[in-house]
Amino acid sequence: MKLTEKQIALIDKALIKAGINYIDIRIELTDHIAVALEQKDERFEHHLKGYILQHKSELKKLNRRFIGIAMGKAYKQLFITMLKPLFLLITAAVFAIGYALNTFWGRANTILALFLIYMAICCLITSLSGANLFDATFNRKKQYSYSFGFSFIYVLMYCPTMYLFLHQEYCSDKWLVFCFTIVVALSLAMYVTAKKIGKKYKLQYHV
Amino acid sequence: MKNSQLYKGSLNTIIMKLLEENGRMYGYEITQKVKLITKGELNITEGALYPALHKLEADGLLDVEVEKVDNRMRKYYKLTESGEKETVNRLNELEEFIKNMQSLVNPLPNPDLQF
Repeated sequence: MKLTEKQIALIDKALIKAGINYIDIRIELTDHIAVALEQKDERFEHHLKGYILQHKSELKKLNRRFIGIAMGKAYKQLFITMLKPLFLLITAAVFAIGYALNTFWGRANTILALFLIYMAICCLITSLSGANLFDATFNRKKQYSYSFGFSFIYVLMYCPTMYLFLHQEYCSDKWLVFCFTIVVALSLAMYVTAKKIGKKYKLQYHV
Repeated sequence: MKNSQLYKGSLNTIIMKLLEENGRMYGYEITQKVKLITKGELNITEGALYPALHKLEADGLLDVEVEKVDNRMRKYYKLTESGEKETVNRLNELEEFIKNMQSLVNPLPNPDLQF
């Protein structure tokens, strides 16, 4: 028997209930379960319930492995972006400008400027790149699995950056400008990479 | 998967060989094809198949096409150009392995080796 659109939606809903949230993972598993259930008799809901109950722990394990592989893929792409000559040039330029500003404008103003640039890029990542931090954490149903990798770095990076910003006295001027240059460069690389991967996923999944 | 320790190392090669023969396939189709060829002896679970497919895709050996089929989206996998080359290498490696295993498990009597 062929499943109806309503029955497909029920499989999707059951997967979300089982903790499988990201769109790309759900699409693949929904099809897998649908084909398996199409081989059975007309008692669709009975078989769906049975399938989820029987495979729940395996599905969760699979979900974690999918996220892990997607994270690895995203980080590899992030590295490639960061090692591009143009990107290295931008990083060097940010450091040079920060260093010059520090000489003429003073440490506090320079660090504030770099911090604000970092925050602006984070807002871009959150709103435009497809790796929406809020959605990736709280509303995964709308997100692709790669976004988890970016939100993970974003959170990891946020705490030491805030600490450096609030306790500038622990570092020399040069080190502080260097650290904030790395933070700005990494956020920029994340934005560019997340946007690129997001576009590829949207084209692939048409969602 | 049956005798998972023995089959695990060959799973990627099995997938690549099937894709080489069939062009493009989706996950469930691969599990059923393996079951059919091995007359039900080898049963690949989704827990083994999908991570292998995703890993091969991440390594650039597989490409993905998503299409709407019967009210849902279906993800098809196919070999990339480098995947096709890699399949040939891996199949040669596997054949060599089987040959070596066969001579170890079932050695032919060799008069030169008799002391």
